[in-house]
Amino acid sequence: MSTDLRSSASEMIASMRDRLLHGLAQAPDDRLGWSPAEGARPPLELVYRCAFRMKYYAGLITGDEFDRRTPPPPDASRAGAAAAITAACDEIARLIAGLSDADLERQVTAPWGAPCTLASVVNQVVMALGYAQGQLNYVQICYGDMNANIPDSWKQGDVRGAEEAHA
Amino acid sequence: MTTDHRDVVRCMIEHMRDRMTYGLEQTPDERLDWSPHEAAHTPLQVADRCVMYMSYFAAAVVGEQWGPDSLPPPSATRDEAIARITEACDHAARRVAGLSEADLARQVPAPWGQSYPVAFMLEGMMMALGYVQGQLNYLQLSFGDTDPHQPPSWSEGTVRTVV
Repeated sequence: MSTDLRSSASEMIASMRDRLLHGLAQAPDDRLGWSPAEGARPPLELVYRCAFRMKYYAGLITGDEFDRRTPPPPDASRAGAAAAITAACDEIARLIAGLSDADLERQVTAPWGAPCTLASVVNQVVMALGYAQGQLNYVQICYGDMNANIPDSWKQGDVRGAEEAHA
Repeated sequence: MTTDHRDVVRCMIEHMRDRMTYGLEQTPDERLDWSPHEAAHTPLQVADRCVMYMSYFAAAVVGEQWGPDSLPPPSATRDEAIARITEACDHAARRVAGLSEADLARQVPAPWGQSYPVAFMLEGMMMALGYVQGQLNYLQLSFGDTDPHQPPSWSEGTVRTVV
């Protein structure tokens, strides 16, 4: 593994993609659309929103317009959510891996309205994946699943890099 | 603005410290020890998890042994939790700022047994800070608070730096 921000973040994104996918796979059918309280999001919606957020960050990198306030209605299937998060994570990891040093210094507007560099955006992406994972684990605890649902690939160190996955 | 890996991570630790502490300040007194399920963490417990993760990563990136025995007893008050988060994040930020280029390549063990370069563990810090912030916001959504509680310092660019 490299020590560079881009490669470290890309590796972490691949790891987090695998953990979200594993966590989603562990959710029983009757809990995919369940949440512990009105207003709190169920597992399928959490994963979809995370994929949507990845697309928003991809738009910051590519400069494409993206309205982050209007997420599409979630597909009501586990397979659809898994495909969405896989595609979104692989795309953002690919974009990050391709950033030049000059790109990292480029100023964009952070989701909260302040200026930031693309270098900061790279870490915001990792943070957003952690955010979704924390919420997925929280829902799972609320229906009695006390397992952290860490995928076997983490223990074996064989997380597929995004570019490898596309090869 | 810097693009150095260590500086970018240090800045984000400070941002997330401010968001966690602001989120706790916005939590009503009667919800500090509340959760939507008996097994799920309360806001004070989520705050203590944040302290635990930052303490672990601050030790891991310099190759120190870490164990949960080094943690204080659970936070009993909002002020206690905020003080501990601030101290743990500032300590972690200083550790990150003190890393050399060579340090970033050093392999350190993760809790699940695999070893990674320190540079990867810096991204682990980002992941962990997002993880606890997501849980605090989820709790708040569960009692009807839909505000993501991004602190005013974020939009004003006045985040306090520790280094």
